[in-house]
Amino acid sequence: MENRQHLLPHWFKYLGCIISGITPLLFILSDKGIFAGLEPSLMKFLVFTVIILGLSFITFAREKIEDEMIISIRSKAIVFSFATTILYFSFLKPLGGLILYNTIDEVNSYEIISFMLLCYLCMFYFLRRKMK
Amino acid sequence: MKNTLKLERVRLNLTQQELARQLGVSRQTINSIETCRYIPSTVLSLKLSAVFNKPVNEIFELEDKD
Repeated sequence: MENRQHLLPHWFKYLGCIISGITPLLFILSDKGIFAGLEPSLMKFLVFTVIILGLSFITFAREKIEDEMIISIRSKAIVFSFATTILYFSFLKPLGGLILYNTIDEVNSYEIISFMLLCYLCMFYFLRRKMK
Repeated sequence: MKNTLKLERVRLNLTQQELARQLGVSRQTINSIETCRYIPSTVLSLKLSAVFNKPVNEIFELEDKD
């Protein structure tokens, strides 16, 4: 049975790891004042763009052998990340903010996307390891 | 669901890797099926049946809990 999933080539996974690895570097450079001239909102945009791009490349890269078990693991991980994101951003985060600081913070789309991708990757690799 | 995949594979003197290559799946998938952690699709079950030259219901068997 041909796998008709539209995914990126496998080498995008390595590219994603390299891009994700740049994020701590951005924080270090930011701490040293390299980006002192940049607006904080622009800096935030830059950091989140790098994180999302790196995690997306890892998420959507094809496995070496993309067979039916990997597709099944992918779908389980998607359901988990979707449910966890809803639970966290709709209930846990506002409730935590209300209890601890008596305020409800606004949530930005970057946070949601990066959280979802991170949850997906954690679950995907956990299930893959469990299946080995 | 129980299966006799390991027995059949050993009978044909095949390694997990060799069987996986024949079926176009990963070795991990074969291992997961053998240890009943993953239930294969109909297509993969039919491919296994063709490799072992046995009907699907002789390789896979339902348990009470199924």
